[in-house]
Amino acid sequence: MVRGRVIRAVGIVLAAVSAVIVGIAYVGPNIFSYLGGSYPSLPFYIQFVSPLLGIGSLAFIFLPWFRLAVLKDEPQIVLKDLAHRLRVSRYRVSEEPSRLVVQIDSNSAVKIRARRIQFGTEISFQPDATPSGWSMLLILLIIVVFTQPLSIAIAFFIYAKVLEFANARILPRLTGEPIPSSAAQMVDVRAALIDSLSEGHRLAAEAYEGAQSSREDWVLFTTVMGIALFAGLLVASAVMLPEDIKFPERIYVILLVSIVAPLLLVLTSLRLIGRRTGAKIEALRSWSNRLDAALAREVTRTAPSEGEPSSFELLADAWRQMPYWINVRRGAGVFRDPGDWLVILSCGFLGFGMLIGAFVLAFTAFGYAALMALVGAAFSAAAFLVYKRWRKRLDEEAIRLDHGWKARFDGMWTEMEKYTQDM
Amino acid sequence: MPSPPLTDRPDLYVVARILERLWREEQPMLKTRLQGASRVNYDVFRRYLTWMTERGLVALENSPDSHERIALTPKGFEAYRKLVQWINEVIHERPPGK
Repeated sequence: MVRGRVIRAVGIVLAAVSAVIVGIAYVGPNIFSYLGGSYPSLPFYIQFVSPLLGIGSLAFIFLPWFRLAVLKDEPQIVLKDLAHRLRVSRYRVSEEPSRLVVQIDSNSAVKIRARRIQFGTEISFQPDATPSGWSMLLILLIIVVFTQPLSIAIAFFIYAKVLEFANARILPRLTGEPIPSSAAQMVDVRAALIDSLSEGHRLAAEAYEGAQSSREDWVLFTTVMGIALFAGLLVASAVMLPEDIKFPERIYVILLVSIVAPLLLVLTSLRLIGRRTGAKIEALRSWSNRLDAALAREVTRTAPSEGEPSSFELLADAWRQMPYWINVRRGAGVFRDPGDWLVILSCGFLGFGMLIGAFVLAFTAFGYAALMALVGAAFSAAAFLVYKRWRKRLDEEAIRLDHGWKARFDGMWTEMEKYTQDM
Repeated sequence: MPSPPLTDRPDLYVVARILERLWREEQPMLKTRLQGASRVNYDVFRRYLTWMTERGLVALENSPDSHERIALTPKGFEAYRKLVQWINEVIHERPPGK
């Protein structure tokens, strides 16, 4: 607990430092020029060293595993029981081979690993962020210059939260009560319903969040395009407007041309985006809510009211939707694979920056510029290769999913029908 | 009057719905309440009830208040448990890309 507080304090200090840096970076030049002085420019290499320091700090926070406990039971049994207890407490748990991923809140998550050691099973955890948490960290780290300290501060907050969660929520669920045998638990109908509903809810909720994230990306893209069009039209109309249109009419015409067209474009695009994604997002939200409500009902042992579907049929219907949910989640690229995109954006940013730098230096220091161009090209190529690999994996998954899912569902359903008929 | 048998194969949704409702109740249930929970009309409900009784999934009980009640048999519980376990297994079987 004390460690959690210390880490949070470090996060607050970093956030304050970041605020000061951002303030100086953006407001400083105006103050200096107002006072008649010249603003000292940052050394060129800072622009490359700073993101690298940020990435290094994130690696320091998110890569280590911390031991939580050593138990006597088998790793699979420990993880299965822990997953069930967390699901009963309505945490979103994702099961992966030999580990769990638990979402703590909208930005923080924790990975829990169980592995066999000499004296039993070692349970350890690793701080993690949710896809939206990662997106925020990546944006602060790479896209916006001078906000790297803020991303490190947020990473420290996530770290502190994970540490507290591990001590206060995971540890008691590992050691607080005897863990029943997994086989006995699987025959329990309610346990199976809770596990299935929780998994269904996780997939539906992630698809919903993915669809929302995609919509936000489109809104952002449209807004940026609108601003770019505004800037372009402003310059173009100022240059191309006939000389005989004098001030103040000239200003009115320039503003009219440069504001109306982008505004119309942005408003029409936003309306189209809303129309195209609104129903889809609402349907996903509805599925997520229905499964969450059914899960809450199952945990509190409440029967569905008349007119509501049974948990079984809700699960059967949800299962038919799952390929679609997975596809929606896949569509949100950065949201889904923050690790891959950290590499793509980092390499892309460094590569692009170095190529631009090399172009500028080519007129004054050719040898240095050539070296810089070589390194920049290597970074750009790395970004492209990682992107190609990520894209290929996605396409392969889509093919496998489309072919396998319906066949599996039909096969299972036929088998269940045959089972009930043969009884 | 005996109800006509189910001509088509039974709808798994309806069978599971009836079994689940009886499993939740944990005690014999009034026929009319069960029919409401099964969300099919009375005629169809009677056919399903006959079909399920013939297979030993549910049992009719005459209570002292002369109302007919339906109870889940051990075989019925086992059938529902199996269906739930089935769906649990397919949902947890990791699809490509989770």
